[in-house]
Amino acid sequence: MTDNAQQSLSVINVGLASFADTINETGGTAVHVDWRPPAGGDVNVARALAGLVNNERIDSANRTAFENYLTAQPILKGIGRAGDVIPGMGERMILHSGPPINWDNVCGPVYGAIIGAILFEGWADNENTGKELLRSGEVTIAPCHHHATVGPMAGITSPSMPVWMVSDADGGNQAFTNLNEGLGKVLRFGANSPEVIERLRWMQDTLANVLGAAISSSGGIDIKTIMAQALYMGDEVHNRNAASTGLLLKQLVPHALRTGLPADDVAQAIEFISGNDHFFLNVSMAACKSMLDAAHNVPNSSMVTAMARNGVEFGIRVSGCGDQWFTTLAPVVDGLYFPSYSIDDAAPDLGDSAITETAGLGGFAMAAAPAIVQFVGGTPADAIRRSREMQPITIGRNTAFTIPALDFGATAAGIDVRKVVDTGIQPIINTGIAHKDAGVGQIGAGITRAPMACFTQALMKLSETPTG
Amino acid sequence: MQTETKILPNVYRDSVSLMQISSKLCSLPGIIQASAIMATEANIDLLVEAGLIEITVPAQPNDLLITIQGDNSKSVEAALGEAEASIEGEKLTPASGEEDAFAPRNIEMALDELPDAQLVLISCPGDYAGAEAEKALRLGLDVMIFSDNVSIEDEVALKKLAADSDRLVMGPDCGTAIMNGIPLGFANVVSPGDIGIVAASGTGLQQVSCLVDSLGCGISQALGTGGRDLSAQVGGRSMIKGLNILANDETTAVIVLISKPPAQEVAENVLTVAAACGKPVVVNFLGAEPDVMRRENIYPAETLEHAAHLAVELSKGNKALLNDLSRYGLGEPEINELISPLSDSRKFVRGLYSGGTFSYEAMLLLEYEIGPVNSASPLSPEHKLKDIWSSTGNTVLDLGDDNFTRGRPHPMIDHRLRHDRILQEAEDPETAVILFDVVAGYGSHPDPAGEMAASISAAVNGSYNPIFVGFVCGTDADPQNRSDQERKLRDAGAVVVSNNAQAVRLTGDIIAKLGDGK
Amino acid sequence: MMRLAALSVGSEALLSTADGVVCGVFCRSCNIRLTDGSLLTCATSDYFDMPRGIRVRAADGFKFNTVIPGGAAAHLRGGILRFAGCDLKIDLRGAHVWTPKFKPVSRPSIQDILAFGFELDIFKERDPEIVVRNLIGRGAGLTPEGDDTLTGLLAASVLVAPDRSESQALSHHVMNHLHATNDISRQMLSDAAQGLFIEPIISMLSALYGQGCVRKSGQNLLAVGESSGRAMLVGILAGVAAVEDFNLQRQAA
Repeated sequence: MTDNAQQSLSVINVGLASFADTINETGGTAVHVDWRPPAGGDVNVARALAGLVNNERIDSANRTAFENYLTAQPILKGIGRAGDVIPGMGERMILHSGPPINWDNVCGPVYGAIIGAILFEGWADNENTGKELLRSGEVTIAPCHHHATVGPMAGITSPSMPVWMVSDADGGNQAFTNLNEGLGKVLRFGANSPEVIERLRWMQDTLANVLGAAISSSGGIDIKTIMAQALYMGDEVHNRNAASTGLLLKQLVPHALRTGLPADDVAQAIEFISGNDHFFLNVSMAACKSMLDAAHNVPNSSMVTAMARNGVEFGIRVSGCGDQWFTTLAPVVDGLYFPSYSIDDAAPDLGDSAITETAGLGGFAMAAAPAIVQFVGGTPADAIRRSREMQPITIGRNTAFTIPALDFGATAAGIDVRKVVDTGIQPIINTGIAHKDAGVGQIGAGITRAPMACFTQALMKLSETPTG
Repeated sequence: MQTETKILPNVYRDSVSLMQISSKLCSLPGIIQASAIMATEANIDLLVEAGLIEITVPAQPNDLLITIQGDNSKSVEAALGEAEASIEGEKLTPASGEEDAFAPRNIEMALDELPDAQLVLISCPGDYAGAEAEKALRLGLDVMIFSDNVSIEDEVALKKLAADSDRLVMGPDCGTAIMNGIPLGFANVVSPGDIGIVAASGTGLQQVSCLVDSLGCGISQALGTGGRDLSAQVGGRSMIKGLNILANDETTAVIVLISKPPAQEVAENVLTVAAACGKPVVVNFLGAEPDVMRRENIYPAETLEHAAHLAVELSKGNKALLNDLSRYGLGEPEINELISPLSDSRKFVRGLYSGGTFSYEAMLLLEYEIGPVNSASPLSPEHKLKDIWSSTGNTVLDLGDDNFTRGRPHPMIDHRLRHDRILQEAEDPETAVILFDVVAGYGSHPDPAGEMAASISAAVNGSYNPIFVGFVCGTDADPQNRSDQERKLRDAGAVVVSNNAQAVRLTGDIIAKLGDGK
Repeated sequence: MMRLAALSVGSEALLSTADGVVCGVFCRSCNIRLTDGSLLTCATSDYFDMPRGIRVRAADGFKFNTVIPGGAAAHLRGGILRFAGCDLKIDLRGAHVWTPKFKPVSRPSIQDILAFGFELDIFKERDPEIVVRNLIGRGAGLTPEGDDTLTGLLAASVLVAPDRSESQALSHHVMNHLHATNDISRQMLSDAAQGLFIEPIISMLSALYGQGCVRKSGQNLLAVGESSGRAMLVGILAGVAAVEDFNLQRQAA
């Protein structure tokens, strides 16, 4: 008790609401907590959580991790050949999105995309031979995240593919991502027909050349600035990328025109980008990866540094838990489906693109892109509410990314595992939905939540290490 | 007959709300049994016992499970619809007009909203209460744990953690406190004053605070410690901390300690701290030998009534302290008048209490006056009732005990169990006196005396009239208004005295007289 | 939601639970009056350490007065300071604890005193009560100059020669005359009477008594406040001269 004897009493009430009513009626002040058993009712998790609340060592580590994330400055530096520039990428290795998985367990779109990559690389000329390469182990697969890379949907990246190269001006870390093919029948949704392969070859030759030269000429493009501007223009840089694509194009065009490359090549490249409203997505993802890698590996930190799905499992990584993945079954997303499709056709949640939410963008910045809530029959007010709902589960705000609809407030960023478990508020993700069969493509979009199990696992891991 | 279940995944409502909903469902047309519960293991067992579900349901502890058993599918469907509507209606709605306001989801968020908070009041299910309390302590707040079913190991760990940052833990199983004049849990509205209380018993705290108020004095702070605090394992940690708080509190001049007799070592520690605290301390360790406690600055009290009187006298600065308390206000002629209509077979007392401490005090005093009494939780094991649902000889029951409250609300809130037992005892030709308490104040039933009066009226018929002796623990400032409550009881024909000790003494005298032969 | 970490906390500000009201807020600092009447000061990291100070690490350009409204209630819980109606939280945990400690190593020389060139012979008055009455509450500034000088005098007396009757008398009279000055000064003077001083004063005295550079400490002390530092330095020098029984007039001539 403090020294204000016989002054009023301020109480936080957990449990029976009538107790709070009594206090408020008799001259005190009570705030009633909208309480539910934490962690889905698991008593052991609840106890572990209690020991980590207001823990100085974790809070201090989070401060460091968050600071590193804030000061990261990802710069688009150029285009490179995946096999040449991605660290640890073997010449017979194919990268995929999400946490580790065996090739024979992958979902339809991912399998289709792997085969497509094998065909593109020329390691086989038909599916059966390709499958044999996988079976024998001559071709291996590995998570993009293990190689400083991120990829949307299937995220399939093979050695000959051109990749964006992003460098952190501050810390010098690097991040990579492939180039976005556009919509419809594309590799990342598992399509591997000759037309898909042909497009990939064009991207490898023409597009990569033009982009590589343009960026080289520019000396590097600041990605955060584009993202910050785009947030004012209706993008949230996960599911809404039209404005940011336009902004990127604006910067590239003058340099592209001065590359001295054949005018038709340049024209094709510009046309390609202009025709793809999601072209910027991959760049956004790589920038977010770069920012979060800067925050990773701070001992004792409970900050989430990756959220990713491989179409079978949903996994997260936490700064203070090293390279460990905390995984659970990926949910099937209930959203808005294109005509003639329904939830029965959907693949489970897929892709590394949740890295944008991990960095405080995408679903966390939904208030910047109210159009998204139409996927769940909501209103623009709902979009604002969802963004605000993320505030209690994050370490802080990223003032580099402000949102007009939040009174120009900064977006909530830095998911704290403890707070997710303690509040029951699961991080929100805006996502596209793929057909469960390879090659059909996107069949809808929706709003989903990161599964609680990942966070409770991470919490139990954090509680193992003595944190004083 | 049709039984339907419905699972609402990840929907949480507190136990009181759920009982109210269950109650409402049971009263719908065509419904035989109904229940809305959180699907914990324990609750599922209860449903299986009640024959509502036979197979294991795929529900998690975090899910809300509705089970309805009715005459036909139509009434069951209707009831299910009603159930869902009620559950939805219980949901907290954010302040209207504020898009961004939503209720805090945990203690930390609540603290950000109310940064001057001093205390967290925890009444969630016992399985989680310990963890919530730990969070509160780590956030720098005091804690009152109303919940029970927290392990004693957890209690010790919490109290040790609290000591590290000089925080107070009231509880677990602490039902009552008054801080800065605000009633917490089940508590009464009493006048402010200079008497402070630290109590291991909720109803004990209520009784002493109300009596102090009725004697014209007031309460500075009344702190609870929880029922197990003075066990050897817990060591009286909260009582000692409470003592120190009151010793340093400028507005407190007299301190009252209330508990059942502590473990010996613990009693020693507590009394040593009390004796040195610099203020007079009244000690009511129910049933303890007063001489054992006698030392400088310590004033042993034999009953809750005595404790209140001693405190008041000390507060007024009187040197001469009462040993002899006012009797219950009835003389021999009045007692004879009460006894004469009784048939010869009527010779026993049946104590039906809602407050555990009152029942305990009654057993102690009655043993002294008329010999040991039977109980579901007697003073010595040989007086345990073979069947707690059936009284034999002199019997005193704490109807708030776990044995009676399993799956039911506490008798201070819900009168039905006591009503049934009253009728049962009244019909028993051996019952001479039905002894009862009525506890008013916040948290209690809105009209407990009204309910009791209805039971008395129903029980009194023709020649089978036991004597009803009772008292009201409350003040006129309580929502129920103590005087009103007393009047209702008297109008129904009960003999109403001012506190438990008086009620028990009167009862003891009546039973003794009956035993001597009229 | 802005969360600042405290770099250092004065020994008297090392609390885990407290309540108060913001009674003054400026660019680089903010004063909180606690319910027990004492004063806490939050300041940016470029500030010096204080016995009741909390130095916070903040971004360049951070100003307390753009974030905290004057009169806001402040509450310390579990080592975290929150302000009602404001998004700011200051985390005191893990901050270095600064204790005002003075330990003389060697005696000063009269040259150290004279080198500053101040007129110190005005301090002819030796009666502590008159000295206090002449100085307390006098002059301009948030803390009146007279109080600053008095603080310097107290530093020399209470830290160097705590057992001398003149030192004890000086403290005693200061405590008796606290009503004659304002809130902020009152805290400073009552702390001074008990031997609690801000870091620049401790460093200055330590330098004079053999630990640290006299000139540098002097410059740091002169930089405190608008004119406070100068007045404090004058008080220290005069106090040391008195304690060491230097005859300033003879030397000056």
